Amino acid sequence: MFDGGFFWMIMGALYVLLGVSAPLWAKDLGLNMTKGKWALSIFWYLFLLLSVAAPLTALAENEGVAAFRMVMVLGVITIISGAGLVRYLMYKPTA
Amino acid sequence: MAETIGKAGFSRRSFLKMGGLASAALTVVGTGGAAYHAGKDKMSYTGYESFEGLQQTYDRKRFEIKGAAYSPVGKVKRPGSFTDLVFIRVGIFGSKLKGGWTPADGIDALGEPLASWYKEFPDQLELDIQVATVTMPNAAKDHAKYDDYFALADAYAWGWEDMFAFYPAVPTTPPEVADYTLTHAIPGGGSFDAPIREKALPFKSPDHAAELIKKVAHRYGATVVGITKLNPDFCYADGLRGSEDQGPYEVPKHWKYAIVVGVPHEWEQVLSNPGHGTSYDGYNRVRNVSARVTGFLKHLGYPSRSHHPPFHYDLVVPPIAVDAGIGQLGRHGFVICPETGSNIRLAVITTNLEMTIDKPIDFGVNDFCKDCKICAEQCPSSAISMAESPKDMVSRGYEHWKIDTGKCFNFWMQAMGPLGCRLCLTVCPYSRRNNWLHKIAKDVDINDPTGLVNNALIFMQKSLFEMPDPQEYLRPPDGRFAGYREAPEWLQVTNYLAINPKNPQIGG
Repeated sequence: MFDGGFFWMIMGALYVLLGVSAPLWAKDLGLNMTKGKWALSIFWYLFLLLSVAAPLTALAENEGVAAFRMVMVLGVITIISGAGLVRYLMYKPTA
Repeated sequence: MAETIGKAGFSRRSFLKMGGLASAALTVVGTGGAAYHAGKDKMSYTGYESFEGLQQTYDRKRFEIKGAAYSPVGKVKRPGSFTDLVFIRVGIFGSKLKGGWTPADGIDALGEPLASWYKEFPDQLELDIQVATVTMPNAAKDHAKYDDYFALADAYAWGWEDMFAFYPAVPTTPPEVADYTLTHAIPGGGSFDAPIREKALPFKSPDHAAELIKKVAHRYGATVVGITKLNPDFCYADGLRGSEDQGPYEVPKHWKYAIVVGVPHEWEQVLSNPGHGTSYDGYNRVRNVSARVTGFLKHLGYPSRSHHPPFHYDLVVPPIAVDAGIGQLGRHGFVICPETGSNIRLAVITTNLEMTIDKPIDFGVNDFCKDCKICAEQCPSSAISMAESPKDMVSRGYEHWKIDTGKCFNFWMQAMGPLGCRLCLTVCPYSRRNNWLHKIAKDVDINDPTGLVNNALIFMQKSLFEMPDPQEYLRPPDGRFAGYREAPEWLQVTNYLAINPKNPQIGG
């Protein structure tokens, strides 16, 4: 299921949908997005994917302890950095 | 975007927004699923997924170095097959003990070449005495007690080993005869020898020869192939297979080139070393490849000889493999290959076919090994040096990482299950399967000139991954015959056999 061309075709379509919808969300939420903010957001999203993917690969290799430690480290970093990113994106300087 | 309400009651914009939100979640789930699949994927079992040469994935040109991998730093001496090769040495020494030799008789009573060698390395005599008088009797008791627990691992190993007795045939004549002779099978049984064709079939160019040999070797089962000119310094000084007196000899003139082939051990059982792992799967596969390539060359009219495991060598393989660009020598004395790490078993074919040679490579192993030391920390016999670098470790005129083979062999004989240990190749961080996680780690590391990634990976390896205390690998009561990882389910006897073995892991 996860290694065929069909799976990655669907994944590609989902990424496209995500890419199309993200500016709409940003506009409706009143975020003043810049190139730098988009880059940060994309980077965080890739980090989120990594923090899900790396422990699951380790788990599938029967490295359960390593997977758990990865979740703890990467998960905490993802949550803290995600909260920071949201605050940064929502920040509106008071004139 | 215009807000147009559709028949379904929501706008296209809302659809895209909600679809995007769902996509964000689904892509995370999909990535997770793909990642889990990657960890389970048998296609990541490098060397076991195909025989079409697809496994030699690294472009070695990027890592080629100028000049030779090794340069002499002192007086060069060829290794002695009866002394430097620990398995043979201990075998000969054991026969002397059985013949009545005791330390009180003195080293000279051992005769040559052992006497001179032990005088040069007296600590090795102590270790060899320990093997024969302590380790082996203990091992016999342990086998009587725990063999059933390792029965599947033993049977699996011996299944690979059984053909060693008859294929490929051991040369019974010197290279000047045997390497020019083909053995043909007779349908229905038996064989007969015949000389190879008088005039070898010429290749269009050395490039064509190298290209074809590599293609053929891959199809015969080689995971990696490299070619170099044979450095005679790495040939044994004595014990030439097929020679009558087994004494010192000149390296045959037709051993001009060395084709190095390598295959990894099966990736699940190798993690359960020492007890549930085996060397014989790698030995069997690589000696088959080596014998097949030898046959191919002979049928084209080129004299050739296979040097393969377990003891059928007239040369020392690792430095030749390094010369051929297969990989680099690690702290543990094994060649570390970019594709398979330390999980590689090698064989060499010597021939006079002129081929374009490969160059040695440097993909950062020297620096990695200096910092890592996991193999030395995990080695239950302390045979692997903890030194900061191989500087001043000179062996027979060449500087390189050296291990204490006497200490190594003492644990090698103590380990349960199929013969041997192999922990150092198991724990090496380079010995990882070929999935995205490890490939990214390796690729980023070897392309980082600062060494920061190197340090980060070593830190992660030591802090994230579980490692037994080296003491646990020892025999009870000091240890529990632990494996680096649990045996794969297909080697656990209680999953398949109706027996109830004593389990040393839990003090049984």
